[in-house]
Amino acid sequence: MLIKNIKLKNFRQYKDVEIEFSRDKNKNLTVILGENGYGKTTLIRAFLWCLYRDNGFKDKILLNQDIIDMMEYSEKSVKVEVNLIHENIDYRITTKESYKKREGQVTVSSKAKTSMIKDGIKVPDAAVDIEISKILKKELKDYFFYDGENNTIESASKKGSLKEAVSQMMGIKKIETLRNYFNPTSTSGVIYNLNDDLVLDAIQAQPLQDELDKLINKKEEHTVKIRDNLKEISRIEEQLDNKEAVLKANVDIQQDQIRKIELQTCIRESQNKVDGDFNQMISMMSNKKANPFLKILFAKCFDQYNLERLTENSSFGSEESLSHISEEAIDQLIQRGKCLCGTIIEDGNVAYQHLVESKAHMEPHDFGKYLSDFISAEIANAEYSENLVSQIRNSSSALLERIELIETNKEDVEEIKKRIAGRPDVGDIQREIDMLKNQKNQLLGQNNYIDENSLPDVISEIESIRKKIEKASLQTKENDLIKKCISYAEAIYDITNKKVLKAQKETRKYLEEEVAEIFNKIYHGDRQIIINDNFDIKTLTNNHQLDNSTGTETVKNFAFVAGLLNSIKNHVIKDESNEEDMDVDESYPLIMDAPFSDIDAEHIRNICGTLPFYCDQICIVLIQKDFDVAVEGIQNKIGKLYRINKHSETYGTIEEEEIDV
Amino acid sequence: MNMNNNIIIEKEKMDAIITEAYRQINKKEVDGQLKTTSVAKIVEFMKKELSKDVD
Repeated sequence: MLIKNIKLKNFRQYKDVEIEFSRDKNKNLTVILGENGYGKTTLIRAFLWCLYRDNGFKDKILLNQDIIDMMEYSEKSVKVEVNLIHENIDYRITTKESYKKREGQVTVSSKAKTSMIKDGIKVPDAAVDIEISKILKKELKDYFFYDGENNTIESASKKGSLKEAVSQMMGIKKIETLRNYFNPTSTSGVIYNLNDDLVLDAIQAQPLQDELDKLINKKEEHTVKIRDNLKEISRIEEQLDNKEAVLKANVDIQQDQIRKIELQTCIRESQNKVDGDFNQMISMMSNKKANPFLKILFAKCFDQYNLERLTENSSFGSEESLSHISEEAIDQLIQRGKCLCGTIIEDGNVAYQHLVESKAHMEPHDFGKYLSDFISAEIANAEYSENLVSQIRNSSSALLERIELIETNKEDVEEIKKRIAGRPDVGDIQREIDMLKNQKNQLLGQNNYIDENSLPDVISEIESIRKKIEKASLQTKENDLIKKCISYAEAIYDITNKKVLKAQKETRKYLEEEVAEIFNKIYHGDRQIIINDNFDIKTLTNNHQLDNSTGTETVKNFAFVAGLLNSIKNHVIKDESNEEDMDVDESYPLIMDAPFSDIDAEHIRNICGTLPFYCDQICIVLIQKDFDVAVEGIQNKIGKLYRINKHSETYGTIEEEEIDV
Repeated sequence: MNMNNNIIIEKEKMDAIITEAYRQINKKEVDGQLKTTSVAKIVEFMKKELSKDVD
């Protein structure tokens, strides 16, 4: 980064100032002369405000007081513009803040906003700070814009940002960043990312392969079963052919065989029926009602006693019949003299007479009633017996017919047997044929089931397992690739880590040598420069660290900055893979408000005379007295010379002067 | 050529990855913080570069 110019508009006492900075390699020094209180520090702070909107003033109103006094209702703005070159690209960076005045009070109406033109093209507002950070990180500003009033290098060093600054400027930061990306312990780094991609639940191929083998065996078993069944079917068909041939050869006796079977069946059935009929007859005759002996006895009694007329000769069944009342009951009523209905019974009266007559209709006079019932029942039995005889007669006839049929059939069977003697039994052959066909059908059914169900199921499972194996195989390949990536990432981390450590070590060494060389040129005492691993710079006297005076501290700080810039020029680590990076000229300016009040003349001469030889661009803001001391050593390096003119407390100008020293 | 976890590390491939990593980092990096998109791009590049000879 080299600064071309800075333009200030209404920035504190500078209403309209422009300073061009020398970029001549041989005359790289720009000197700005200004007495104390003239606004030297304001110039340095203008850079910081423009680049980082860093307002280091107690009074936060940056607008020129004269403008404030004159402004009424219109807005007024402060603007600082820095034009610079970085990595061979032109940048215009402008920061502007607007103010308004109300009732005598000035307030910010539009906060400081930075805009950028990069290589002639406006950079989007959101990207401006990022672009500035790429040019010079804010953390490094104190090393290049040296505010002597606040000894900013010292304060930056104490903040612990020195190592970070050196790392950034020496190019180590790039390797560190690369290392961080490949750091195995970084949860957002490449290796963690790769580990996340590992398929942790990858299906192992071997168990699947075992399962596949089993399924293939199962499929083979089904295939063998089908083949065996087909062989068996073939054998059965052969048998069937033979049997059917035999059947065909004996077709002439087939009818006889069938007839024989039919007759034998008929004989068997008739025999069964004969047995049934006979048993039925026995049952009928065994019935109590059907006892033929009783029937004969009864018939004789019936005739002898004329029982059939018995009922006609008795009062049984008449209206007068009182078969359920006994004579003793009537005698009891007569003796009592009073009927159940209350009628008085007296000897000779109507009631008495009526009761005496009633006795004729009572037992034993009604015994005939029982006989009558008996007779009726026996008449029914006699009818049944007559029917039974008829039935037995009929059954006997059928039985005899059936027995005759059996005998006839048996004779027919015997005749058939004689006719087919010595010939095969076609019935048996037919049964064997039927059995064989049944076996064949069962085997065909098995094969069909295997073909249509078992085999397709197994084939489908095999396909499914094969797909899983393929997937598992792919996952394994993916994991192998990721593991390979991790190995490379770890290797890159190892390499970059070593590179960073080596770079830090070498940089510390270079820096220490450079700073020591410069310090020894500037400092006229007997002190030694030591820089530790954190890039903290210390001075030793006879190997002892002593407190430095303010002047010595200033010398040390300038030596450090100059040494750092020289190290950047000579030892910066470049990204070898980036051609653009290799071409970039690592230049940085040193803009310093030189606090030489505590430094003796020799040191002033040394500082001013030495720094231009180590920096690409340097701007020293100092008072005339110090310039007079230093001028002898720097006169050949001055490219630009300016003087701050203080016209009032609120108005200053900066005019370029002829270099005639 | 080097060995890491029984995997041969080829310098050319490693250099290609480093170059790509720098390219991604330079594109996004402004404050030294790891960027998710950069990491993803680097991982993607590594897989592509290293899968060339993976059967």
